[in-house]
Amino acid sequence: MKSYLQIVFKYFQNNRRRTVITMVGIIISAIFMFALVDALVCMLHHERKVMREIMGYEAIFLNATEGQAEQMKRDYNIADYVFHSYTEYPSPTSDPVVYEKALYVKFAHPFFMRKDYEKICNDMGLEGVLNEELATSYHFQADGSLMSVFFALGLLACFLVGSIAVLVTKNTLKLSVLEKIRDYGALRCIGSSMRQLKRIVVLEAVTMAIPATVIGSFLGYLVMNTVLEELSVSIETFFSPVALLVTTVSLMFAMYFSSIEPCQMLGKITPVMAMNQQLTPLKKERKRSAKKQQQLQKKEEKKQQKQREKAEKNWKNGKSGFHLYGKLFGIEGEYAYKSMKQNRRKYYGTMFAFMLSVVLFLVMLGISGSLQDYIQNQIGQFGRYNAHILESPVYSMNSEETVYGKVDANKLEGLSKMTACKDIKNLYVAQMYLAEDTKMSELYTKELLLYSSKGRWIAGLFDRMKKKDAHSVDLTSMGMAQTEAYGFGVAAIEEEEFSNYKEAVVEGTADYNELGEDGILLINQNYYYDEEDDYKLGVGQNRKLTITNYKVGDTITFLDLQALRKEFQKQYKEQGEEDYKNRLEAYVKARSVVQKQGKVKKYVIKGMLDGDVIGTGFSEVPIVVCKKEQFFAMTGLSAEQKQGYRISVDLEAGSMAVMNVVERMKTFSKYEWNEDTYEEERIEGPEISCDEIENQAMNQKGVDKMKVVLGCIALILFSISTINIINNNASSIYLRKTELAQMRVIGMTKKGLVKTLALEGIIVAGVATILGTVIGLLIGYGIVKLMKFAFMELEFCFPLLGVVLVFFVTVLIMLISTAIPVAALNKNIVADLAVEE
Amino acid sequence: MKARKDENMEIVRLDGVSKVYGEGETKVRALKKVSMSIEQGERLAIVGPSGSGKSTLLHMIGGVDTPTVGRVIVDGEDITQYKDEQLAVFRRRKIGFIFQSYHLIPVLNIEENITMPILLDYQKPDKEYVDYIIELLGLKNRRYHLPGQLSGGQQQRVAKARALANHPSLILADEPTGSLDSTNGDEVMALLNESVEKLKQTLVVITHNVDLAREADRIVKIADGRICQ
Repeated sequence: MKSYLQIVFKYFQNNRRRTVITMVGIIISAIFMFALVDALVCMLHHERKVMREIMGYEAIFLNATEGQAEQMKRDYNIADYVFHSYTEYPSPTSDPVVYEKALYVKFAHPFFMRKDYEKICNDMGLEGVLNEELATSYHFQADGSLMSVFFALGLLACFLVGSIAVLVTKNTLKLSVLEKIRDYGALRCIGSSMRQLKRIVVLEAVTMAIPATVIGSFLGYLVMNTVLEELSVSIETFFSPVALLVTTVSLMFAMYFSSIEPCQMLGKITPVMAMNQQLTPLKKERKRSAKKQQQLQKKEEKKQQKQREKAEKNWKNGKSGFHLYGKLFGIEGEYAYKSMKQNRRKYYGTMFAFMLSVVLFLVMLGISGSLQDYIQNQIGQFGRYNAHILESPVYSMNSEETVYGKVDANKLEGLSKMTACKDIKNLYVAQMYLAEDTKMSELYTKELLLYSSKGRWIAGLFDRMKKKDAHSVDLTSMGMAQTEAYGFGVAAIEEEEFSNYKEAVVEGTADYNELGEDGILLINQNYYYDEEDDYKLGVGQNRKLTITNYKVGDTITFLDLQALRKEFQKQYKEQGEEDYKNRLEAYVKARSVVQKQGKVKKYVIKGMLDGDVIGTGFSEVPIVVCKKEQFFAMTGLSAEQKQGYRISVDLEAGSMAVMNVVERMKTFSKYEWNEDTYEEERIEGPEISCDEIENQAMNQKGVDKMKVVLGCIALILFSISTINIINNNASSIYLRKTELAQMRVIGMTKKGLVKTLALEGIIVAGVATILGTVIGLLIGYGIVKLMKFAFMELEFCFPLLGVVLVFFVTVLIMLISTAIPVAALNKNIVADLAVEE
Repeated sequence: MKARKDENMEIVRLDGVSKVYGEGETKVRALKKVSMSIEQGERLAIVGPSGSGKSTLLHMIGGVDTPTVGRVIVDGEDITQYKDEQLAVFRRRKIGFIFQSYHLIPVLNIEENITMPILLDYQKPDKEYVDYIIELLGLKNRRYHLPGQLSGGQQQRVAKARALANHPSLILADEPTGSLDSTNGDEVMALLNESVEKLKQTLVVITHNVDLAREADRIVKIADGRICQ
């Protein structure tokens, strides 16, 4: 072993440059692999910690005694325990059961958590509760959860990175064997066995890999921390021994696999061949039957005949007989084409490595493009005025005469001058209520009643009312149903803004002048939340639905808001106690009174719109848009009673600019942390409504960071590919050095040689890029679909620019990776010819 | 030894050519102040023991290698002043090389191997001439075969055909029969002599074969890097 190592170290010293380049390739692979695996381990550790903290336990035993607790610690792998109260909720209707002294335990071996728990329950006859989610996380069951998806992606990435590491080292080892072929021949002649030689090759690979893996792992830890910080992922990170083990074992396997081909090559060359530097072993003559020989001969003769005829034809017509590549690039192109055609197999390795890089690059580009599209699509939901400052609550029948807080005029002016702030307008909004008690199926569309949580809830309430079940229907429920079902948002906009709604008109008109005195616009499509579809659509991604069955020309009759308010306040006072239940009951009664009094206001729908282009701030209600004069007449409010301001924030100004606007808006009010609700509450100033744009900006920031990270990863992968291709080209050129020297002897210039090799490279790059593009796009599509299934409503975005970029970059890389080995070709042709005197 | 001096014009002249390889302890003086000339149309044989500098001398003449000291003038051109590109052009137009190991291009068929020097010069091969050479060297039935499908003798004939295809002034053959049996070797040399005779070319041959050397117009002996008188 010592002598082998001595030989290996001498070879390293002889060719330091190549050794260093290869080690750099392995280090980069190790960085990747370690960073990925360690990140996954840390995330898993974090998830488990969160699960423990949320639930507060690993397992609870409901009626255990102190003695039993001690016994568990002694005999049943319990690391620690504490007694605490535990409240059980057997069912929604029954009373909770409180266990004053339940035993909370922590297991010594989390991987055997479930087994130990069941053993304790069986042996000690105890009842208990196991933290199922935590127990499952130690067993990685494939349940379509987020962690499973991440691990699948992580494994795929590790496999791809490992493959690249194999390809990088394999070509270096091959070249190393080729260069030392005479030495190996001499060793064989003096008695070294093939096994001993192969051991040297494998040892060379492993000796390079060990320090490179260690260095790469430490660097990978640093890289992982930096990346997680950039992505604002706040989890506790640590240098995981598991990650180091996985990286080391994977790369050692990779080194072993990478040495297989060079060893096979060594095995095919005899000692004499090695001594004569005959680098390509002769093909063995296959034993064939006479009949088969005859067939082959006939085939060969036919081929010759065809070539003869073609050549005759070309001579006759004065054509060169070149293939397309030769016609385009001259004799160098023809030589390159013929060389590639005859030696296809030799180029498969390079092609595969390149293809892999292209695949990974396009996969990442596809994913980041899809994420970007997803973010962009969100913008359409918010309308032009996507943030609101409320100086008082939205005016409705039960809103108090309260003012949240006025906005300072100077602060507002300062806000209007910010980069991302396009416009600020006054906000006039209120909630009105339909006068008639209409059937739900006549008022609302089927899709709303079926596909939204609100719709299903309203439909359910009204169904119960229809059945007239006295036990299930009460005034509270009725009030709830009626306020939700009959409430319409009303918003006043400026005259010039009506033209903006033209793009959303599906029926009728949005023309200001054609509205007349009693004409209104009805926004009949809006985004509704659906709890059942939440996991498919993703949080915050609601479904756009058509709301009502109204048509242009229909009349909408609202209850007089001021009359309703007055009556409500009267009824509410009479209820006595101020609570939500009484409010609802007061509403039902007030509504009934005002209906009987006939205090209503009628408006005609002149235009139906498919979206809230302006952004009035209402969600999950049909919205009436009207002129300011009509608004004041409809609601009974005055100009001084505006709710606040609506702000148009330019989401395409960049996440930073948008966040600056959000941060500025938040300074308009004072907030205090509420320990009970676990969130910040406004104690002074206006109510700021900007969650959507804040989320949008945060998402965009995340996507921007991910793009940077993915871009860096792609760059590194291309670097690894380039190293591999340089090595591969170098070994290919070395194998052909005699042939190339001969070409120079008969008159090919060095430039011509470079041109030929570059053209060969372009063919390799072209084929690899085409295949890589197709496969990369398919895999990217698959991953996006997987992500869609797991947690996010993504659609695949075809990365056209990326595909074009890939073609140019791969050609460039092939040219560079050809030039470097060619430069190393001897100036002295004689040396390359290996002529014997 | 036959004296054939149809032309008195000098085609090659070497003036004080020396070639040194390596440095320090590994320094090897392959040629030591060699001066000689070759007449046009002459058939010259260079003989000498192994390591005497025969191949180095041939490489100097053919522009494959450059002397450390001295001048090499071929067909009136001082090729020692040429840069790499100029040498390549010189070789493809003026020189026809034949090596002991043939050194054919394995991915090109016979016709392509033969016409390669012409194509590298961005010229169109003369079909009649190419047909003539192929016919002369008995390669008609192997025209579209790859080198790997030929015997040693056939490969050497292809190498010869390639050397002749570009109408070189000078044919340089380094042990052209070294890899062949005596029958093939005789056949190949006979063909080479015939074609050189017909096309009025100058031939320089390195050989260990005494009979082959005797067929030349002149024999030059070289030993230890020097011409022996």
